[in-house]
Amino acid sequence: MLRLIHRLKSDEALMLAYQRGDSTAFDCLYHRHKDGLFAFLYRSCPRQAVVEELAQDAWVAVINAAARYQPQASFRTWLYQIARNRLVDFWRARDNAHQPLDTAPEPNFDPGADSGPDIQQRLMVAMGELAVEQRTALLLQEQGFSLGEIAEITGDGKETVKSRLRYARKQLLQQLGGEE
Amino acid sequence: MSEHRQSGRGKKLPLPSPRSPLQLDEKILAHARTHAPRKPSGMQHPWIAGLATTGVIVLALFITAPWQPAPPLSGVANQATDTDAMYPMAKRATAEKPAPAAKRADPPGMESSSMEMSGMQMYEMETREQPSMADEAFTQPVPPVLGAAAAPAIKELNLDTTTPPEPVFPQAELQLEQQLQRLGIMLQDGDEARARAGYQALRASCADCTLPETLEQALAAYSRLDAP
Repeated sequence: MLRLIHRLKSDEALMLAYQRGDSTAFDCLYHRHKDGLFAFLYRSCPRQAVVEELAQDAWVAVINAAARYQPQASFRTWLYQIARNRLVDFWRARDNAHQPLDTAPEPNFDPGADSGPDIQQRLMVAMGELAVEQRTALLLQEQGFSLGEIAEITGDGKETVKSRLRYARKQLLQQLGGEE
Repeated sequence: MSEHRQSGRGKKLPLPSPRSPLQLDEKILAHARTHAPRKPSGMQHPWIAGLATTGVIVLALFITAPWQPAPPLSGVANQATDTDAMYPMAKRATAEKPAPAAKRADPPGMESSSMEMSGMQMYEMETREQPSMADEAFTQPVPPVLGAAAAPAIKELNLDTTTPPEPVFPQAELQLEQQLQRLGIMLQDGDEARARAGYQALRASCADCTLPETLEQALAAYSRLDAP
């Protein structure tokens, strides 16, 4: 019954309920966003171990910050902002260690998409060729965020985000040979 | 707020959408349960609210209950006014007297408490602790100036004794006697007119005193009183 009530609540209300000690509210919140966040992280870095670690870090950060949470902005925006920061830290650590990351998806990992694996693999390779900022903006847009929300998550201006999205789509189109 | 919007082109890219693995879910949810923010302490101990309410009620009853009825300040003021009217000399004596009693009552470092006391409270404390000379004089019966000892002389002089003599204080009696002596000396020196005028002035100023009509009669009465 409680879970059913929680399903009707907004993300912010659930987070505030969790702040008051209701762990079932967090269960509901987690189930609402876990797959979307995991997909976003996987599309940014198609390595299961890395994605699991990043997802866990992001959610643990949310849990640890729950006591100080104030519903000033959308919870989802806040969640993806945390995840994006973890991703940036990861890329930065990779760059410092001079370890190239293969952007192609792992062959034994189930992508869970309706489209054929061939198209997905080609698209992921093409995404890997994009600049990190362009790729992040494009992936956030794929998650359903508006220009303003993407700007809030990445900390850039709306026009910058708009420009990045335009270039990212153009480049993808060129790499995929107009198949989009 | 959490609605997913379609991409700008209205068409989603065929990207892989993997699901979060179960083991990761369990790990994160377990962490969330163990690290859930604490509930407010008031909710964990609801009896504290009851205890606080009871305490407030008891305190309110203690303050409002008439267990120790203190005299109202207005009553004290009225009482003081009556006292002042009855014993003006006592008031003067108390006012002129320095306040060693109050200083003695307060230990060093407690001057502020005595300063905080109102003048009426200090007066009450002083009169309670150490009765002044004036107070003692008032509490003891005061013999009249022309009391039982002067009765034969008054009878002899046909003085009106139907009205009871007003109680005159020893100090006043002394002043009256001194003035009469002074007038007597003046009369002996031959300054009769001045002596008589002075006596009439004395009679007029002391309407309550039972002084005879003439200076000679008064001197005669006092000389008999002084005689052994």
